Amino acid sequence: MAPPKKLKKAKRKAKDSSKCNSSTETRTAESQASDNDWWYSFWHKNYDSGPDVPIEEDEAFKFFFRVSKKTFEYICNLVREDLISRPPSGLINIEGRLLSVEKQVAIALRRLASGEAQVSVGGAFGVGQSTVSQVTWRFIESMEERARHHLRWPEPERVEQIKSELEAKSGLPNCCGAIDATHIIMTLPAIESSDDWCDQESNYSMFLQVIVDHQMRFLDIVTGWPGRMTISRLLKCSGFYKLCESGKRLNGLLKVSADGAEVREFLVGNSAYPLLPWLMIPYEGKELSPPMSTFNAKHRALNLIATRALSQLKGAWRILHKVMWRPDKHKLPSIILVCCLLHNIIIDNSDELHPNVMLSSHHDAGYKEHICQQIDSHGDTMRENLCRHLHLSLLTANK
Amino acid sequence: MLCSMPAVRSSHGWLERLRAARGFHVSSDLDLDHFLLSSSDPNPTHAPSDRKDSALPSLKSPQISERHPRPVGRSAAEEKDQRLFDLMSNVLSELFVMGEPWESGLDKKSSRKQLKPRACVPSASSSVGNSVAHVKKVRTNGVRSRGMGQVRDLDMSAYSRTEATVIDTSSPGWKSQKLLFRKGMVWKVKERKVWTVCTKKRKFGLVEKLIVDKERLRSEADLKGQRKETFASQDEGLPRNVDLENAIKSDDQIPRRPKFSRSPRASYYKKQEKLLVKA
Repeated sequence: MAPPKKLKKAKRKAKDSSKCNSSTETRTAESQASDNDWWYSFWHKNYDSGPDVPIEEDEAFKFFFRVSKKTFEYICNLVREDLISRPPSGLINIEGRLLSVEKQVAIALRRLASGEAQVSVGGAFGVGQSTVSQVTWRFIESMEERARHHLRWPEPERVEQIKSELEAKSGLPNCCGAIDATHIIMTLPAIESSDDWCDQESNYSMFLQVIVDHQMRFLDIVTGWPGRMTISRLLKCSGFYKLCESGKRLNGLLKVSADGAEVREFLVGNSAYPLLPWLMIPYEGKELSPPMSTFNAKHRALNLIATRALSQLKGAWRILHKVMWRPDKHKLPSIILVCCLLHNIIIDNSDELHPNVMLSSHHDAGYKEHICQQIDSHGDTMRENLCRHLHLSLLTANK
Repeated sequence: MLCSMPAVRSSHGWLERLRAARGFHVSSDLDLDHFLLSSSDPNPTHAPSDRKDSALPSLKSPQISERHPRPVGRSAAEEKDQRLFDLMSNVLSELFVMGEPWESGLDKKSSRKQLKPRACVPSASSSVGNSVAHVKKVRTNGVRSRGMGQVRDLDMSAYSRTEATVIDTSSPGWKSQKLLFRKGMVWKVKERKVWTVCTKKRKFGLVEKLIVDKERLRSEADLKGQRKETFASQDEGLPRNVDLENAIKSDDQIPRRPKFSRSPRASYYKKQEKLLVKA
C-alpha cells in the first residue's frame, strides 16, 4: 500500500511549524513544505523495496536513513552552512530546482547507509549519479570538520564514569575501554593493485582501529593503514600508542587491587594485540587455571563491546561492509571517519538503530584471528594482578 | 665481463710522421726519453748505449734521484741545459702518456693509471651501470634516504612503496599523508611533506573554501579601510572645498565593471578612480 501523501504532508507542516527552533523559524512554511517533499517522494518510491521496510512513517525514515527525524534535523543543522545551495553554482535536481540541504543530507546518508551504487541511490531520489557523488562528497567533507566534537578522547570526569561502568560490568578496575580493528574491503584498479594492501585473506583492504566505551561509542579511531599490516603493527603506528608509551594517555590515578597491588588505567583487546602494561589481552592456552579462565571470561565480556560496535558500524553504514569498488584510497579514510562520526551522533542523540537493520554476526567475517606472541613483562605482571584481584573479589563475594 | 683497456702504445705511426716532418731521426724503437736526451745533446751517437739506462723507471723517487743525480759543481751551460730538459720533459709528460713523469720538484704527481689494472665487473643490477639513468636512480635513493629518519641507512630500492592518507584522532590535525615502504613483514613509515608551494593550486575542501572566502572578504574590507585611512592621512593636502565623506562616497558609487571586461569605458572608470584616490 502506498503511503498517504497529502494528508501526512499537511500534518507535518503544522507539526514542524510548532517545533521549529529560532534558527529555523526564519524559514518560511512554504520552504519547509518543499524540504519535506523529497521524503514523501522517496518513500512513495521505496516503501515496497524490501520485506523489512516498516509501514509506519517514522520507522521507515529510521530504517532508510539510520537516524530518527530529530537526529536527521540535527545533522542537517551541522552541515547547513556548507551544503546550502546558492545559485548559480548550487546543485540542482532533474527538474532544475536547487537541492535543499535536507535532500542532500538524505542522499548522502542513503548512499552511506545502503552502500548501493550511486545510480540506484540517484534513481530513488530523482537525481543523477554525478549528483549523488558530488553531494555525498560535500557532505563527508563538511561532516569531517563540523562533527569533530563527536569523536574525541573523553575528559577525566567522563573517563571516571566509563571506568566505573566497565568495572560494574566486568569487575575489572581502571578499564577505560576496549580496542578492536576491522578490515574495510575494496577492489583496486590493476595498476594500483599493490601487495601492500593485500591482507592475510587475499583481499585488498584498509584498516580501521577503534577504541570504544561502555556505550559502544568510539573514543578514538585510526584508519587509512593498509590491510596487509598486522594488528600489532597497526597499533604501533597509531597516535594512541605513542601517547600511551609517552605517558600522556591512560595516565590517570592508579587503583589498588584486592591484594594491594597497583592497577593502572588500561584497555582490553583481543589476542591479535600485544600484551602491554596498558593493554590487556586474554590468556592463551588450553589448560588455564580457574583464575585465568575467570579473567578471560570477564575480559571477553568487555572486548565484546568493541566487536559489537564494529558490527553495528558496518551494519548501519553498509558502504563499509560491502566490497568497495575501486575507491580513492585517499578519500576512503574520510568516508570511514564520517561513518564513525554518524555512529557516535546516533548514540549522543540517544537514538538507536531500527531493529530491522541487518547486522552481521562479526564485523570481520572470514578473517582468522592472528595471535600476537608479544608479551611485555610489565604487562604480564599487570594481568596477573588483575587476575588475582578478580579471583579474590569472587571469593569475597561468595563468602 | 672484462673491460678492454685501450692500447696506448700500439701505434706510433703519427709520431714517426711528426718526427720526420720536423727533421728528427726516425727510429721505430726510439723512446721518448732517449729523444729528449738526444734533443738536448746534438750528438746522437751515445744514444743506443744509453738505452738500457733510459728504460722505464720505477716509481720510487730514490731511484729517480739515482738515475739523475744533481751534479754538485756544474757549469752554467750545463745547468741551463738541465733546466730546459726539465721544462721540456714536464710539458711533454703533460701531453703524452709516458712511463713516468720526470718531476724535478719534490711534489711528485701521482700516476693516474692503475698500477695493477683490475677487471672491471659490471654491477649485477644493470648492464649500464655508468649510465645517467643509473646515477639518477642512485641520487634519488640518496635524497630519499636523507630525509628518511628511521630508514636512513637502508637501500630503499628493495622496498615496495605506497602512499596512504591516514586519519588518526590521537594525532594533531587528524589527517596526514604517509609514505610506506615494505619488504616482507618489515614496514617503514615516513611522513609525507605537504608542499606549501602547492597550497594555492590545491583544490580546497568545502569548509576550507568557505574559510578562504571569508578571509578574502576580510582582506577586501581591510583594503577598503586602508583606502579610507589614505584619505584621512591626505586630509591636510586636500583643498578646503573638498568634502572627504563625499569623496569616499563618490568613490564607492563608481560603477564597478566586470573584472575581465574589455570595454574601453572600463579603463576610463579606472582612471577616474585613480584620480580620486590621488586627489
